Amino acid sequence: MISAKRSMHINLFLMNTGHHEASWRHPATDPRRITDLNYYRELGRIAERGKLDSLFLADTLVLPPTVEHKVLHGLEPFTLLSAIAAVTDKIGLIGTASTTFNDPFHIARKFASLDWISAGRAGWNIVTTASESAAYNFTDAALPPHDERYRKASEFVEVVKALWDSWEDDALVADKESGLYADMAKIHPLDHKGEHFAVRGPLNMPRSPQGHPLLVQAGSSEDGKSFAAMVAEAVFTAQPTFESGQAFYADIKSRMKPFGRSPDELCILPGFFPIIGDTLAEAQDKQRELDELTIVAYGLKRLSTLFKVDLTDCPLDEPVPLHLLPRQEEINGNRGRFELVEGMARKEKLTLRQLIMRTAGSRGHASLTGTPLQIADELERWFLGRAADGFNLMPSHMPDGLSDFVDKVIPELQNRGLFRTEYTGNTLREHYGFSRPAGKRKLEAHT
Amino acid sequence: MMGGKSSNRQLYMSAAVDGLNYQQCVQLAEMAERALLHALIAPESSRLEKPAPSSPVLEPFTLLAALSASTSTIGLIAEVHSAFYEPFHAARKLAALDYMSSGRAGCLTLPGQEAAAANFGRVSKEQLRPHGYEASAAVEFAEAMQQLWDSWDDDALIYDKQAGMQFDEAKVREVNYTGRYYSTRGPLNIARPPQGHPPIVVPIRTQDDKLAAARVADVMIIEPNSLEEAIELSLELRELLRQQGRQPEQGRILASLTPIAVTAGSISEVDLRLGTVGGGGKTARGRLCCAGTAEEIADWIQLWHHSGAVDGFHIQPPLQAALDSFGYFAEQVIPELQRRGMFRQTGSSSTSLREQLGLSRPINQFHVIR
Repeated sequence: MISAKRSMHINLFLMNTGHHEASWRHPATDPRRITDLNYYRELGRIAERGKLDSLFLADTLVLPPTVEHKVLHGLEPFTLLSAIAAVTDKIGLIGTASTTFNDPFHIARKFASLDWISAGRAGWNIVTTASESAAYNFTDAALPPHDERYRKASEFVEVVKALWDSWEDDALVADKESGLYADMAKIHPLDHKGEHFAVRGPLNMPRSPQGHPLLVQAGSSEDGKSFAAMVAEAVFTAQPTFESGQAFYADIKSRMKPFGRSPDELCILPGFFPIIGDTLAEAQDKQRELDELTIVAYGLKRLSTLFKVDLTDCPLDEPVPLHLLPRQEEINGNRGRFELVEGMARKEKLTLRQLIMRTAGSRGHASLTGTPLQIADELERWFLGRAADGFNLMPSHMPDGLSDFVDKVIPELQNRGLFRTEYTGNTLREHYGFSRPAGKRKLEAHT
Repeated sequence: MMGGKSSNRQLYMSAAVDGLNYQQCVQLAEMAERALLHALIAPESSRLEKPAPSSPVLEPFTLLAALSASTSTIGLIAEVHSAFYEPFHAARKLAALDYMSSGRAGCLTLPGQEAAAANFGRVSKEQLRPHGYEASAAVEFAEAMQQLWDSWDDDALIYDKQAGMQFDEAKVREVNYTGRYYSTRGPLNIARPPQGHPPIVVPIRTQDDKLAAARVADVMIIEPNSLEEAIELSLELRELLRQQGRQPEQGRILASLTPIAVTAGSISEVDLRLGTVGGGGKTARGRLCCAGTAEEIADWIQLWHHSGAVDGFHIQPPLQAALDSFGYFAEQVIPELQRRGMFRQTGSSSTSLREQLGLSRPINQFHVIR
């Protein structure tokens, strides 16, 4: 049965003007604000008003080929999250950083720094980078293959955690009288030499408030799921239906045991794309308004990029030409999303135009257009039915879609005892109900 | 006075902001902004010094981005060790910082020390890249960043809601930069920053640094032992700028300085090591110090500035008690300089760091070619 203590976690997935791809054309949004810190200050405050656990920034390391018709991500995660840290008090700050195009030392240092600046609110969404063209912004060599990227990611995370632990918790003395700043006996080099990295360490920073910033993962391929079961404490995933959500949930949790982890050491947060109206008709009007702004040419480019095949000359009102698509194993990019969208087209026999519209807002994530009560019912069903431990909230357009959720759906979830009415902790780990990982000396004493 | 420089030349001032205590960094930044300083510089470290660890510092981009939210006019300059960094990452973070701060970002480039390389070892073949520790590698790094910033025209973004067009594709381009150490294709995934190029700051320590600075620096930081040395050095730097076809005022010269306040009765507590009170010179740590009362420090600054050797100073408070020391400078020395008409009394009407430093906004280099 459901434990009384279990409560829902909600992360705000920040995305420029909103998650609907036409949100930037909506009269209520202003795409020029996506590089303005005041915009994020406003969004952060709305999210804190709703007592949300965290906010999250996705990231790309390349200018997307589809950018002509769709707003850019905007700012860079480390700089933006640090600035948001300065203008918020409680909300967790999860940033995406690639294990393929960074050095573990930089990443360990930047997240530790963000954790200090935010007093324990940092989290790292670990990605391996699926974009083949991103590679050429860093090197003249091609993107490494999928399994190779995940092997590298495992080693990368291992090195970063070891760097975070290279200072014992009490290594920083800062005794002004004696002039002893740090106790070198409590600071340990790593001397890591692996398949991909050679890192001596130690980190040039004391262990941060959370010990380890929260580790988040979002890949839903086979490699991605195993990786999540091994290292992640929160998983973002795209699940179009309650049933697929349940299956994914059971799958990930069952993979944890071989790594010596208990299922409650990981929160599964499927993406959820709501369009909220006081009546169903009002919600449907809002959705229609956004859908009608969708640009078919953009949708074709987007699907062509995902499917790795040029669909731009295909007839829009005929079934998706599935026979033109490569096999899933041939995809070296976003394999999980390929499977999801391809499956949606196959099972529901969608036309190209229908597939563009179906994925224009939610991009294949769960979605619901309805009243606050209907939306709360759906979230409750997923949560109690073990399809989710919480949600990655994807407002259609911002700030309006976000404030609708915070002011109309959150109170309903609170009334049902599903969601917190006040923050009970200060750190991101505390919001998700996780303890602070033991430091080096304590670990050794226990083993 | 050298070259008969008039006393109404602008005096430029920056200060170091570092340490692990974010709240103290905020206090220092706010103090510096109130005192109308032009910029803050966040130093970077790529390894832990042994045996005695220097005070750990917050990572510059995270620190300065957070400070951009609690300040509104002061420049925010991040130190980057180019040997261990990617131009794409740095160009993008600087652009983001420039947007969030309304044009206040800058970048101090240093190649980084070979001793830190052990923290950045890459084993896999496709990732192997030689680390460049010479000044020319930092030049390459700066040039790659500048090309990435120029991968967008200033007016590329149109946000035409009606037509559904975000930007004009003809105004965004790949740069395909290939140097000895770096290659990057671009375009950058953020539009050209408000300043065009956030200014590049180069510390001058070696002969190679001078040549590098002459090519890319908007600001140079020198560490002379004496006024005579400063005069000689600045003549040389300005000549090198000219040889690169640049005007002397396109490269501001700041001397790094640690002011030590000596108030009545506290003289015996100050370990000056050299020089007399009211004088200046290098300490054992290799920093140029000036100790004295607010008037004496102001005299000293006036002498240096009027000599024409420097355009201003980069204030590095002593490691211990940085906040107290800087507080004295900001609240006693700066007002004294203002009384003498040497330092600005009102903030600039522009938030752009370039404009505050009297530097022009760079033209997009891909337009020059056309």
